[in-house]
Amino acid sequence: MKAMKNIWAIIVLTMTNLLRSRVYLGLVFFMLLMLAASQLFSYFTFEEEIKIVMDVGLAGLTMMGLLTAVFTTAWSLPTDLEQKTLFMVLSYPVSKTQILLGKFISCSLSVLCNLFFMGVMFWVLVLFKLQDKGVDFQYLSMQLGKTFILIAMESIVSVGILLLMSIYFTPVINIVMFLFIFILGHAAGMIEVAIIKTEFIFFSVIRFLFIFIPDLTYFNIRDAVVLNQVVSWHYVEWAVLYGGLYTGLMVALSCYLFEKKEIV
Amino acid sequence: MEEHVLDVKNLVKFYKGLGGLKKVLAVDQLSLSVKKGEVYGILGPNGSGKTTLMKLIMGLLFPSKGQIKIFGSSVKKLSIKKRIGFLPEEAYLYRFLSAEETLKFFAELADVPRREQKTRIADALHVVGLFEARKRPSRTYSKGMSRRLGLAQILIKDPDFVVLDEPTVGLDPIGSREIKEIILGLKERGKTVLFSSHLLSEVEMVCDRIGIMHKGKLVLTGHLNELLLRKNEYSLVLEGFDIGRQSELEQVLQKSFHAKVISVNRSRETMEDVFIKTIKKHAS
Repeated sequence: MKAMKNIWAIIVLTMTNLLRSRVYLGLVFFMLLMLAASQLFSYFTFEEEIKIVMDVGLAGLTMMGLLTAVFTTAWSLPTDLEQKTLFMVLSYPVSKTQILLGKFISCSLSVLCNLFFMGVMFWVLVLFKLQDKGVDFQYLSMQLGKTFILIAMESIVSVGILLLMSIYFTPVINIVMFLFIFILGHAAGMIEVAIIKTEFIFFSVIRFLFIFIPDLTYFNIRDAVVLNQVVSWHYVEWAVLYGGLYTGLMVALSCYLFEKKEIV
Repeated sequence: MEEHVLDVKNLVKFYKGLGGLKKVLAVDQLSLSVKKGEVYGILGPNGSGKTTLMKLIMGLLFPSKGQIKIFGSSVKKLSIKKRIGFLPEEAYLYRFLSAEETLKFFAELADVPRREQKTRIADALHVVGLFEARKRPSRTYSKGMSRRLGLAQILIKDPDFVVLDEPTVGLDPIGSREIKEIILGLKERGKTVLFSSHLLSEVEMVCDRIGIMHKGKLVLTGHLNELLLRKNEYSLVLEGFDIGRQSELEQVLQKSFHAKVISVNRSRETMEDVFIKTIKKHAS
């Protein structure tokens, strides 16, 4: 009960910080700009226009999720470590694990809130654009819903990775390393095929690394949705399970390492 | 048997250098104990290991060797932290929170019942003189105000054992005096206080016992009176005495008490007393 109270106090603190920071407000502004941009393509044919609106809008959502994950998580713990605010916090009956869980939950919540509002706005705009065009709204909403869920999952996986690295690295190094992981994660399928075909020792190392790098291609169903291909709920469930397990592992590892870390 | 609030035995702390190769010895075979209700001051020059010792006691750093017990338990035990208050070298505050919000956050962590929080926060803000500025974000505070807010978070927690790392560093004489008065207030309420400083007068004013650190070692420890009082030497403070009759006085003392006058000086105020009196006079 006390642990939950502590985690809640850290969540409230982190959310207050995010809501009062200009970076977060900048992200919200960027989010609105991306939505507006997806509505500018009105000079194409109807088919092309829908594809472009969906493509740009969903890419914007993904980017928004990632940017929120990066700007909330990469700075959160390092700022507390650098400004030494944890000195006083840790003199209270609160564990480092509780602090980290509070940070993870608040960063994830801010990502989900941003994605939720942007997702709803995007959905309303798409429906508005497609009204009277004979489109099956229920089917389209379902497809968009699946895409939103997987974009949210990918962003939460990103929060988990960024949180783990933020224990040891400064925000800039953390972001650079995360981008590297993100790119590798999206090229996981292609790289693995290339690795299987070669015996080179260098590729064996990369193959070993891929045990730890998440396969982010599982969460990318944007192309399938834009091209009107069916994505089953079964697939979404498995991808969410994979993301959840990977994130859980990252958070558990973060808590373990943070407990072992000295606060200098 | 007197209860020991803090027991440190053979404590050693190495800092690892780059790549874990070069080791720096920050605390060297240090043992000390602090009894219930006493104010213990750690004195030492800069770099003597005072802050490292404080961080080790608070569990922020881990000992390389030796052990630390607070109320008979390891500081790693969360329940022990309910009984400890800590003010680090600088009051590192959340800059986006006001004093009131900061104290509310700490009151939540300290498990202060919600119905009591408002009163305790207001009381603590009054004690440290920040009530008027309670709504301002702490980023706008001066160093002294930040420090006082740091002390306020200890007051709302109301711990049995208070650890203060250089509590008056960077403060003006008034701020410094106020903090010393707060420490004395804690002592009056039966709290145990451990604090570090490199200001000798400050330690002299508030401590029962002191320990002097040098290069990570505790080189001297004892009661303040044991350390400072000279054997068989007393000072006599006289009012309305005619200094022209000094030799008469010396003779009387020699004849009647077999006491030799070593020196005769005019009583002096301390510079701190003069400063505080002047400021208070002009403020009123």
